Amino acid sequence: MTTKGMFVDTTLCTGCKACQVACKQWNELPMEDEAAVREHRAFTANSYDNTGHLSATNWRHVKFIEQFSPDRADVRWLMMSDSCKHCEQAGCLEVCPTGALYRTQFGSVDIHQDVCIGCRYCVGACPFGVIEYNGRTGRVNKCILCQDRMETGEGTACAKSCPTASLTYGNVSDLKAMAAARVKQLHAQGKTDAYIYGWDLGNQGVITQGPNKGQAVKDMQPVGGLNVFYLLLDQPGVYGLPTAPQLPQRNMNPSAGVALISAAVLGVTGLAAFRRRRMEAAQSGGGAA
Amino acid sequence: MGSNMAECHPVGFKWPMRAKAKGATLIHVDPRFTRTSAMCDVYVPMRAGTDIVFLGGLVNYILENKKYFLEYMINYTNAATLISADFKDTEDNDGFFSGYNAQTRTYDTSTWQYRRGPAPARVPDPAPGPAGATYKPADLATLIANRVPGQPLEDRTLQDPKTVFQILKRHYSRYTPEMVERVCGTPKDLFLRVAQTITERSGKEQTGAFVYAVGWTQHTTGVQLIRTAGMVQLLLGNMGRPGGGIMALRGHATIQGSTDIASLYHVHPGYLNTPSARRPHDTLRDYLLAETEPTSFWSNRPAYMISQLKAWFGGAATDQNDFGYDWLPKITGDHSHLPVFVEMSEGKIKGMILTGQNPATSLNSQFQRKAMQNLEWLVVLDFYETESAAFWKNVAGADPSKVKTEVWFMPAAHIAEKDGSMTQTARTIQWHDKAADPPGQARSDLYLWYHLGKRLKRRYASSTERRDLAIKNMTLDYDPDPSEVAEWKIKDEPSAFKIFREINGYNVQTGAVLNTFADLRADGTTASGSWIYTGMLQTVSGQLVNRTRMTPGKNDGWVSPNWGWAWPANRKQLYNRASADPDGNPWSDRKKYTYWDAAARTWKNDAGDGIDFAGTKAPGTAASPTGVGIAFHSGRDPFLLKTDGKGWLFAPGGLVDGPLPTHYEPWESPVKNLLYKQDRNPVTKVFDVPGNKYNEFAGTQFPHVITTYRLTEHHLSGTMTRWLPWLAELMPDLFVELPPELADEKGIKNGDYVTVTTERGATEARALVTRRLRPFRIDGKKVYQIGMPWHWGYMGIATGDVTNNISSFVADPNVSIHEGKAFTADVRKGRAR
Amino acid sequence: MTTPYVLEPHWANWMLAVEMFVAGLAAGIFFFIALANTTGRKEDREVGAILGFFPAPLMLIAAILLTVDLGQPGRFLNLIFTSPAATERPGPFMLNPNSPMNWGTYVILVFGALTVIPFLDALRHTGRLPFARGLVETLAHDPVGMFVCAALALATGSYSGVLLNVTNLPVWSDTYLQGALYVTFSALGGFAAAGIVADRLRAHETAGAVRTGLMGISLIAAVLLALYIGNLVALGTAGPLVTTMVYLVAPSFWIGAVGLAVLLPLVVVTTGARLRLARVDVSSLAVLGMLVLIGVFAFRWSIMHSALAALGH
Repeated sequence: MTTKGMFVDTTLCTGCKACQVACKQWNELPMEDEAAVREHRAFTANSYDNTGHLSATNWRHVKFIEQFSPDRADVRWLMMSDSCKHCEQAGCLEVCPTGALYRTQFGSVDIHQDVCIGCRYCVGACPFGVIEYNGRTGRVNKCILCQDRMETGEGTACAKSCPTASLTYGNVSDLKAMAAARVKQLHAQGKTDAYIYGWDLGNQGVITQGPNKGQAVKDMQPVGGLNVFYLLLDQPGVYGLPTAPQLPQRNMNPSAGVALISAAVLGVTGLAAFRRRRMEAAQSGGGAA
Repeated sequence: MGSNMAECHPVGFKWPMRAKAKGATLIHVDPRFTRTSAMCDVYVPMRAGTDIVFLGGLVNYILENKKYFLEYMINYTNAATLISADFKDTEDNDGFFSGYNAQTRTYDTSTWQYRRGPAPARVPDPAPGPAGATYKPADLATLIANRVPGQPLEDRTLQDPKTVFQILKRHYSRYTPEMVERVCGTPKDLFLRVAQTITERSGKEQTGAFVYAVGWTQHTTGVQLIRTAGMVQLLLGNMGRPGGGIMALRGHATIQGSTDIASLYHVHPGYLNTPSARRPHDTLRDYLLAETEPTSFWSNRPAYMISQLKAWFGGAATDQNDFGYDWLPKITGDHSHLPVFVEMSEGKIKGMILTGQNPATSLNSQFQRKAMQNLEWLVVLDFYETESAAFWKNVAGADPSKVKTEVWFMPAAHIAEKDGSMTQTARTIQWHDKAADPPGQARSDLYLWYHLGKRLKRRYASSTERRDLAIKNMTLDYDPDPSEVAEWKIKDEPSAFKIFREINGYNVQTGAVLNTFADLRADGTTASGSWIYTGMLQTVSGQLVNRTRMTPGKNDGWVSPNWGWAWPANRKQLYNRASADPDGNPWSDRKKYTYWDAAARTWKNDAGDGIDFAGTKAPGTAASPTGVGIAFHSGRDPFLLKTDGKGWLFAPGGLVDGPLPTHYEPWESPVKNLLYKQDRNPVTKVFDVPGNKYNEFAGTQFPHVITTYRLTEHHLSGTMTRWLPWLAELMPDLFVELPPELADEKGIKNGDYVTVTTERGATEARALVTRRLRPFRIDGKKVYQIGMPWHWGYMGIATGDVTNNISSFVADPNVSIHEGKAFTADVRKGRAR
Repeated sequence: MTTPYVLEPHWANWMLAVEMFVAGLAAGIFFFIALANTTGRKEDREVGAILGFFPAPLMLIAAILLTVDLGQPGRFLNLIFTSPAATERPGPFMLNPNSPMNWGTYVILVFGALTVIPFLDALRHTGRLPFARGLVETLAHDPVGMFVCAALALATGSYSGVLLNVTNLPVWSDTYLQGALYVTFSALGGFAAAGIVADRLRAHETAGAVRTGLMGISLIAAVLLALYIGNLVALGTAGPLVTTMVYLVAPSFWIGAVGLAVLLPLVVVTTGARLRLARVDVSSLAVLGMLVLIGVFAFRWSIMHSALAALGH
């Protein structure tokens, strides 16, 4: 089965949040915090973003980044619809101790809610901060690329609701071609800021607006490639994305190795402690202070 | 401009985005940098309320630099028409036109009229019929022919100072780029970039469009403002052409339908004026003569009116009782929202039924909530207990016995729970089917009115009172056929389809559905609720076809004539005669649309659109000086609904505040009018009543320009959206957007509680400090632009203070629209109480 | 600064901090027992026997804490036996070598089972074991067996550190030293507990070994900590551990982990000084041992909460 995914073209995002609502509606997710809304504690004053981040009940989150110079000569408002990236090498899946997180026939990462024990290890493993623990159910949740819709031949609810086709669902191979063409088109129009975060399609550019104006950007392909990938117009950090995301397993062998060495040293130290003591005891002739 | 399309019409916005992908340039002119600005190529800042200066500046640029589409302008507009010698422009008159009466605060428009040749010979008018049956259909043609005026005089060299062209030039001579910068606060080079772009992209090979919404309508000069854009487009030759024109973005799902089928007091369905006690409308004959324009397509008005009366009163309406005209109530003045609430505040209104309206959060909302206390009864039909349904909780506080109003709250059925048609913003009517029964006792608006009507009919069945005759005699027979309601549990929901059919129209004798408004007659043989909708239902080869049903997946090109049905007569691009040159040839291959096929002697449109012209009228047809209706126009006059068939750069009639748009400052503004001595629109509808005090004009107490607007996440006063959990959490609290420069001055930090004040009251909100708003330099003086969305109220999951606590009653004189887009206010740190 | 991660976890960590302390202590004590039981000296064996009471109940508490901390405690067996709903995994045992949480479960399972040996030996030593006295005594003192147990003890002591290392959280995943630090503090705790028991039993020679051991282990810990903090400082992520007051991370780290657990034993034993604080002889092994245990707990607490503090929780 060909791998399915989504291409997120942030240049077409109007920040309407239809995707966020469609996701909640399709997956029957509750409000983040009803009490906070009723008691006026939910307003973040962070541009037009009042839900803040992905969570166990918020699987798609639109970010707003205002870039306005004080003299208003340089004006830009970046918008991006964030969700699970369904990484080719998924940290969450790799650390899951029960096999609850698994790779579907579509290449996406789904969760067996019947298996998850709520250990939250995956929450710490994701480099993007996507998967989250649901205190009410005792399990974890994230975007599952509308597995039930894909099984009936449909695409994702968010992509369907997007009015400007900023989100496109399809075969990742087709989406990569589409993305490459789009970056080319934008570069030809002078928007050299555009590059792909998720696959290295060979694009390079220069940021033309905002505080990072003049900086170089180029495509990047972290953790083997992201099946939900992005066309961005500024450094990843501006969008709250990591600049060098990696699998947590990068640390495992080195850490275990160093621990092994330490254990060996401790073993020797332990033995030496009993020996030296003995020698002290022998020297001082029995009975130490 | 005047719109935030990406936020407020997000689905429709995909079309500008596709155009952009194909190389179109998107320009956004707005006091705030919004999500629309983020998607456009060029963002142009402009102080709220100064659009006429900006657009007038474009007119000036076009005229001074000769960027007008000359052939189009001379032939299709009234640029060459001569105006009365007595006409005086605002340039001569300190900001007034000739004909102003300071006492009545109105204009006498006689000096604005065309100069005309001699009128055709007349015969004596046939006498009217006896009282109660004054109108005799057989006399109609003669009566109208008697009223054909002389032909307008022209100077096609455009040199005469009284040509519209020269008047225009003079009127806008001071609307220079420098003036635009001084008044609007728009940097001159940005304004010129806009002017250059639109003029370069117009002409034979290219067209451009303006898109607007309530950012243009909600001003005391709203109508004139929109008209200025119309003038720009006429000068550039963009009207009636593909990719051109002006797109009015209406604000609700079927508000177009709601005005087409008249939720407005001053028009009947199909935009026929409501009979008025203040006009010569005493009898049907009087009305028809007063209302019928002899030399435009409106010459058919009698057919539409009579057919409507037949639809409403059925067999009871005959030529022996003026088709029931005398049973219709006549309006006695302005019965729009604001005056009605003034009367309510004076105790003159006993009861009110609200279906899908929420005045408790409307303008000067404290005034309105207070006025509602004088009602004896109030009925509210809505999904949730709205602020209006609960107004008594808000005004009475802890003691409901303080409010004597009896409030009935009735739950409403939702869109998916009823049959019906919707008319969207491009006039396309689309049918939709009921998908589910509403829960419990919830019922549709239609159900309420229908069953209320039936009960009233029973009550008045034996009445002889004159005022009861309309209800007594109206047709109200929309009980559903059993098959229509077989699958539903509600069996007495009226048949929307039967009403739909009646609106479309039918032959009274045979009952056959009419296919076109051309079949409507002024003699009582046809019935139609709204002539513009005739044709949405058609008889094709003996079968009834609902043209408003969409055929998904059927690809019928970019015009998509089978995707719903656009009134009138499924014409998507109005006035498309103008897409061909005077000889009937397309202006260019690229912009080929409607054209004259000389061999077939007929107009054609290969893209599938309806021809908005007489189908076989040759382009070379001469205007007939005695012709009635469009026969008065030549084969080169595309604008059928105008008396001269031409696009009006100068408006001799129809508007009460001037034939040419003129910049007046908003009723509340921190600066005086830099263009004229007369600061504000002299015929503005003002409401000098207690509780509606205006901020001092150009005063210092309320120094900031404030605009109010909408967000994608909520709808209107939030009566639907603030109750929906997934939307409530997206935008949970009311906020006011402040530029950081102002916030710093006031010691306000992002997220703080602040209070916005005017003479009317105070609204509390959270501060959203952002550089998307800015200080403007108006004639060297720093003026802050601030803004607030107005979606909040005290009911729902996400609640908040009411923005309209601070707005006022003041309105455009032509259509009574309020001025919500530009007024003044002050803001201070801290909560309201 | 390159950011390999961005996120905000939500979980109550005190339970896990306690669990890590308890399991680490069980491991450290068993490590000491393995050493003490194989030296051949009667005094050592006595201390080793008494200490034997502790690893089993401590591991039981640890297991309970780990299970209760789960969102779905009733499903803890999914860690070991592949759930039928996890259809992609070949059964019957759930094995994911990439997940320290998975293979670590097996480690503590085996180690936990083995703690029954010192427990039974403790019963035997105190005359409460009515059966298999000889077998138990043999098992508890066999050098090869005890070597294996010591290895598993050290594995248990280190695996949760490796687990923290295999994440994308700040501080935890910034170095390769997490596992090493954990096993070292585990050993420190074990020797400290041994010191308390040795002091109570007046086992002076064993106490001498404890002192020497504490000195050596705290030296190793000091070196590791220096490398650790240096590494974090170089990466710019040291703040959440060394300066933040949130969850009292910095105080518990400096005063507890560095001060009480590492510097105190190092200084006291190296200098042989007698320290009196408020009439308490701090250099008495019992007191020293208590303080070191407090310091080891503080270490677990501060590491556990450092990542949360980093993300503003």
